[in-house]
Amino acid sequence: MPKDLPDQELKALIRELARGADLALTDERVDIVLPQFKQQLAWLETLQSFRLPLEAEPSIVFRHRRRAPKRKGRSR
Amino acid sequence: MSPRELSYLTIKESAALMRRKKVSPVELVRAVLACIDELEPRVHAFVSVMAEEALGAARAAEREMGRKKYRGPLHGIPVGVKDTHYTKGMKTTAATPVLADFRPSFDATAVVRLREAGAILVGKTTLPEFSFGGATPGTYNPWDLSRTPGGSSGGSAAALAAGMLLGATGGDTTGSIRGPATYCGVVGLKPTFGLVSRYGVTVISWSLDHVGPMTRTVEDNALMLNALAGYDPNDRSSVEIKLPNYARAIGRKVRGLRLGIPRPSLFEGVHDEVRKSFDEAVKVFRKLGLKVREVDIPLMREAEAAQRIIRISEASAYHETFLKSEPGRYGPSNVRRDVEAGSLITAAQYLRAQRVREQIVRELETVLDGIDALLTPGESEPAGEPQRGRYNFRSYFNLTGLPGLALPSGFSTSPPGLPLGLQIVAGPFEEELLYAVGHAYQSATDWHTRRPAL
Repeated sequence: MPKDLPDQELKALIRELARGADLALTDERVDIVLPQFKQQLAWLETLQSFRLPLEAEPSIVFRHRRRAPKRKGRSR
Repeated sequence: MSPRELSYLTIKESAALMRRKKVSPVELVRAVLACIDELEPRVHAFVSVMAEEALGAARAAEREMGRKKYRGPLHGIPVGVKDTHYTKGMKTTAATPVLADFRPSFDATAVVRLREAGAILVGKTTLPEFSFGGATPGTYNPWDLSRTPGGSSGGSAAALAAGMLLGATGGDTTGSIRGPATYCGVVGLKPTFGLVSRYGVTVISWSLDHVGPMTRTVEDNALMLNALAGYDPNDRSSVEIKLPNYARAIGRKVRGLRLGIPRPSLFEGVHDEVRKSFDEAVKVFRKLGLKVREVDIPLMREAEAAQRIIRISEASAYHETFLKSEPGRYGPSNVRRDVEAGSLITAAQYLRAQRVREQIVRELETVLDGIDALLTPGESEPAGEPQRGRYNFRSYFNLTGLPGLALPSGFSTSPPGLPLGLQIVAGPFEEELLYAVGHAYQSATDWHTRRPAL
């Protein structure tokens, strides 16, 4: 699992992901971000180990509201 | 009445006195401002205090009442809003240098509704930078000024506990209304997701953020929710439902209701004093005639992980502009670090968290089928003590969107004199049930009437 990688490899991963996200991270920022990145990996590992049914949908599926009824009005 | 006595009136009491012309809005606002003058140098609950504007609004309220135009129980009541809530033309800083000069061009819907209800906006309350975090640096707990009031709605909670406001709003993404309410011995509601508009409030996480009322009593909380709740077309998560009068739930019968409490293993790491207070509260609820039984709250570890990933992913998306254009402007907190890390979460990882969320919601529905309400501790320790609780009873209900009401349940003996509290949770849009059960508890106890020795 990524969270078990040594720090040097995690930092390389952070740099690559940051490039993909168009985020400029200096070496100093990578060092600062590393602990939080590791914590995120731990959370992600917990989620990966949860068995999701194939039909499980995300909570943010788009939904509509019915339109308000049209008022009767004079045509122009 | 002295200014201090006036400023500690409840909204209900003040409204009754104003209807009988025993107290005027101007007297009440002056009393609150006097209290702020006296205590704010020690508590630091406010980012800004709008004394002149508040007095002007109080005079206008008085004139309206004189013309018998009465807006309801919030008319003339001094309130504060968290400094994440947009106030037209006035600074809304979210406690960050990034927004130090931001003056919104419109009021948050919550602010509009409070003003329409006649409430008097006295000040904007403190929070940690961008509402990130369970403490409010620079703000102190009125019960022990060496301790935190919690966060992120720490300013609102502290101001209420100190008698510097009669009502306040907070924001809650991971427990930020309920946590400080517990630490400061006041009442705070995280409503059902979609009940109270989030429009015009700085964002942490669109699908986890909630706005809610904070007060000193459950009854006052219901009065404030009456003003705040309701559909807002500007908030795409806002729900169109027929709203009840939440105040009518006060005094409603609770005998026979089924109250679930977490199974013992979910209390791992909870402070002894919190556990004792919780057990005593259960006895009170049994005496009130509620049927109490242990339940399992499903997938708590997974819920914590899902809530954290969703929160930081959405926060990072919100912060994208700041991160790319002015990263150096962030303050010395961990916000920049956290959103930089959050920006590295992939879309697939975020969506997995949202899929897990949906499964947790479904499993919880099954548990809720067998009970009417759920009781948990409000926080797992008193303010400022090490946080050792293994399971997070607050963020679980941000993830699942259910309403949670925090209310005081006692005081610690070791360390001495710190508030302890409960959280009552109900099904979606069942805030009335929360108020009925919470008020029944407050009728049988007096924790909510205690005042810090400031």
